[in-house]
Amino acid sequence: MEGPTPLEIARNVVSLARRAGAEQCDAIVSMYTEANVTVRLGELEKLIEAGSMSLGLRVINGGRTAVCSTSDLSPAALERFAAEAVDLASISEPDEFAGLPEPELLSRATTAAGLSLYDEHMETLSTDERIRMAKACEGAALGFDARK
Amino acid sequence: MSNPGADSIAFFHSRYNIDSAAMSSLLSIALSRGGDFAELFFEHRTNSAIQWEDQCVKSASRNVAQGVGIRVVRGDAIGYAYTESLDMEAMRRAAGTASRIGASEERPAPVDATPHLSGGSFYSAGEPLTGEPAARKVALLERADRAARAFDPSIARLDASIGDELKYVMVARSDGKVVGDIQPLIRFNVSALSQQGESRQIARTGGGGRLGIEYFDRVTPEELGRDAARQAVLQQGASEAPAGTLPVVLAAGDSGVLLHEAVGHGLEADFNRKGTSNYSGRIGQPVASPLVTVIDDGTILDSRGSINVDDEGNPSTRNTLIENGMLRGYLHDEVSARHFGVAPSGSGRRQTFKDYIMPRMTNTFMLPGESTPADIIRSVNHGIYAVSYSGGQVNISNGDFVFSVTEAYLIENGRVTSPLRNVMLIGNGPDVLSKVTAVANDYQLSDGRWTCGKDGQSVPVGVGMPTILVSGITVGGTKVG
Repeated sequence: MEGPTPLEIARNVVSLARRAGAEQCDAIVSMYTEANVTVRLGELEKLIEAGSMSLGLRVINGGRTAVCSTSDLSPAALERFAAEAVDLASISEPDEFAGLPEPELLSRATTAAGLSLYDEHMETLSTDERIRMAKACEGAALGFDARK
Repeated sequence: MSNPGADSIAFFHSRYNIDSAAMSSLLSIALSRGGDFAELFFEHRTNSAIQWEDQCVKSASRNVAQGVGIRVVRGDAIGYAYTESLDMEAMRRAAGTASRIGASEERPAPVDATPHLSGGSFYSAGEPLTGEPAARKVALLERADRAARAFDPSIARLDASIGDELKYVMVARSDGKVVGDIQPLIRFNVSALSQQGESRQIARTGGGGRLGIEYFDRVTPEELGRDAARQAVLQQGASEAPAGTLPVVLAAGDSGVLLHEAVGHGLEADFNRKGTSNYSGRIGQPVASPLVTVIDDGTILDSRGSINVDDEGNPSTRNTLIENGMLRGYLHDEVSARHFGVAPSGSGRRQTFKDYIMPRMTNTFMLPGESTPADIIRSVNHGIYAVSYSGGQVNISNGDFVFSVTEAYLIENGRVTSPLRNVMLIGNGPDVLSKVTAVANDYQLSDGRWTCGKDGQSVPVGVGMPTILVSGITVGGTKVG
């Protein structure tokens, strides 16, 4: 993947927000790819493939919170974005219970490995194989009973 | 903003350097493996929201999203790709991905993309609310809070929120047409809680539309705050609703949500194309009482459900769906319009550039009739008067629906008497429409707070109704006998 990693982008935004006056802040960058095949009555009906990256920033100043997100990750836009988030925090009322978790409460795990949430085999499936699987599944359902 | 189309096209050109040549090139790539048509959907969207709770601003948020969705259609099949990156390299890749729904060998198809700049707009918004300083929005929330609490001492809690959106869209089609739009949208919600002893009752109001801060001169925060408080207090003295099949008078305005759910979804052409709606194959047949005419119209000034162009670049229009009880037509996107051999109806929508197109409703309403609301109520011996709703859902394959009514009254001997709580309306769309026995002359469009969900995609919609009488609907209540 070219360009900065999601973690590098998140670290950068946190430091931009701190420079703009944020006392406490956290940033989340999510990046995903999507592949979606829909088959109807034996024919391919929908084929969707895409990639996406977006960023969320939470700023907490004196208990006042603002949450902002953007998918414009160009450097100039991010600097403006961080400053706007700090500004927006100033209109909330302070909430004494708002704040980042204590460091000792943060998770040690850095991957979802071991949670059995994801089948890596999906990454190697070609579009043609996905279409074949969808057709086979629908075909089995349609062929199960003469009443359609 | 008298020419949002031209302004939006200029926005994408100056900000991202997307001009006719770039769009023509992307469309050619999209159709390079064949297909009936293709389109590029560009979007830049800013959303802001401020939440008010416990007499202060609880949270504030602002979100910016941008991107392009590229669609290629071949028969009933769709190839779709999207990207947030609006540079040519990323967009070329997306166009290539979408083209893979095509069946033929690579063969670039030439497209000449040309902006269509027709002036005029169905949104009279001056300055969008998105550009207003946050302090001005907070002041509106404070006003709703003060008015609700002043209405009645039992109001123990007032939550409110103000949301605004400004969306720039540009659609470039393989037939060469390029159109744009700038779509403002605002929404103000109030929730009031009345506490009397152990009893807590909540009521919600809201409104908005394709307007700026001038909306609040037409519908003040005080009115919305007071109305939420009034309904919450009303619930305190309410009786449990009777259960059984009863005549129901649906009040003007909000009752349109029943029309939207009970009938509207069944008339979206994708369900009918696939034969899964109970209205499939019934064009030209009677589907409702002859008193019923149902329209879907995206051209109502300032309404939440209105649009200048749909998300396929077709102009918004007024569509007659049911006329004097006869089914006249469906709501179409390009795919279903081609399938049925009719003109598109300006109903092709997508929630964001990441989503594919489906036919959706805009503003859906029934035309007024000859009766008066007073005469209709007088004609009912024992029934229900339903005024406000919190929402409902429908099974489009058979038209069965369920609704939650949040403000309702008993009608006894032709007079509106006690308020009722926990009223559910349960029925079947075509059945209810066939039992409409009176339609009044007092048509109202409901204030803009409805959002329609279908297949994971939300779109803002409008609903409207005159007061009508339905001779029998099943009322789910708790008081039997």
